[in-house]
Amino acid sequence: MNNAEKFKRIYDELHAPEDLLGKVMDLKMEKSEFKTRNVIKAAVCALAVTIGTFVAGNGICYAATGESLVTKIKVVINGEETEKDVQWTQNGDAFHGEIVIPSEDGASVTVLTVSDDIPENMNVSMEYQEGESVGEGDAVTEDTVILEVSEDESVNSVTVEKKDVVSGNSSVNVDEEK
Amino acid sequence: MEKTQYERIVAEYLDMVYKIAVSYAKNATDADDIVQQTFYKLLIRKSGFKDEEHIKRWLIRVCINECNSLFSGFWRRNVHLFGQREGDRETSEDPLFEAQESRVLHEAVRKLPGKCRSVIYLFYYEGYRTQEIAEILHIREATARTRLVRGRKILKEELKEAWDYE
Repeated sequence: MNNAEKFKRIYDELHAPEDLLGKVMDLKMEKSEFKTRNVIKAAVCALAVTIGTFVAGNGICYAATGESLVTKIKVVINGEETEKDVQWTQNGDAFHGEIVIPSEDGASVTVLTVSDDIPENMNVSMEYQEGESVGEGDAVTEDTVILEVSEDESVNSVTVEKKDVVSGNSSVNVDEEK
Repeated sequence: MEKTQYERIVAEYLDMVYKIAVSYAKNATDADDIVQQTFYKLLIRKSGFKDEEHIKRWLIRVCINECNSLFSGFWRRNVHLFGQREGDRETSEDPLFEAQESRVLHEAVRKLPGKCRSVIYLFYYEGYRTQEIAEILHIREATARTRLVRGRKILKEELKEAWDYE
């Protein structure tokens, strides 16, 4: 018996088991259903994630103020340190944030922050502009502080010293803590 | 592919694909996986076949590719479950073949390098010439001949007098 005949004799006695035949015959149905089910599941999941993200994003943005995202900033007013909410609104590509600080006589001081992006650590530089108009729909008094975001400066606290709210002779000091 | 045509091809070539898978696989489960993957590729194939020989060659080619794909992964190459190491596997415990002579030859074929194994199987069992083997495996005929010679030499060393010198 030569080598080819040996191979023939040995492998001729080898046959695929019946259960494998059944599996291969049913392969189409199983695979097709599996694929279809997976596609449907993936589509439903993607839709749910999209809706969830949209709802959650809006929920976060409008949670506190009903119209803007809120972050915190440490403000020192007349030597008294306090934490204030910064209410952010988007105007085109730019974000505008403002801090409303009530004055002793019932008027308010608005601190406006202008930024291309929402600063995570409130790294800002400040510029005081007396009588500056804050923006559309803001409750503005004569005392306005404009915060301009600067990437290279790190300002962790803002000091607003109000001397005379009525006349607008306020001063603003910036504490830079790098 | 239409169900009737698929069932006919399965009935005709299941044994052939299974034999190739067994010559590569370390256990029946792996062989089953390879066979199922091969026929799944047939199921999703959109273009038709020219003739029966085209179907047969295509199945051989896809099956060998599936074998290589299965055993080329990092897990398969590096992780050996208990009882699956080469040294652990006793030839006499192989349930696929009843006769001792069959088990010895099958084990020797399975120990061949993959590239030689497919050429040896196609040459001795399927009866293809080296030129046809080269066409099926998409290699040069000289390469097929080299692999055949190398496989024969290894089998001769492994099987000694049980293998006829050619």
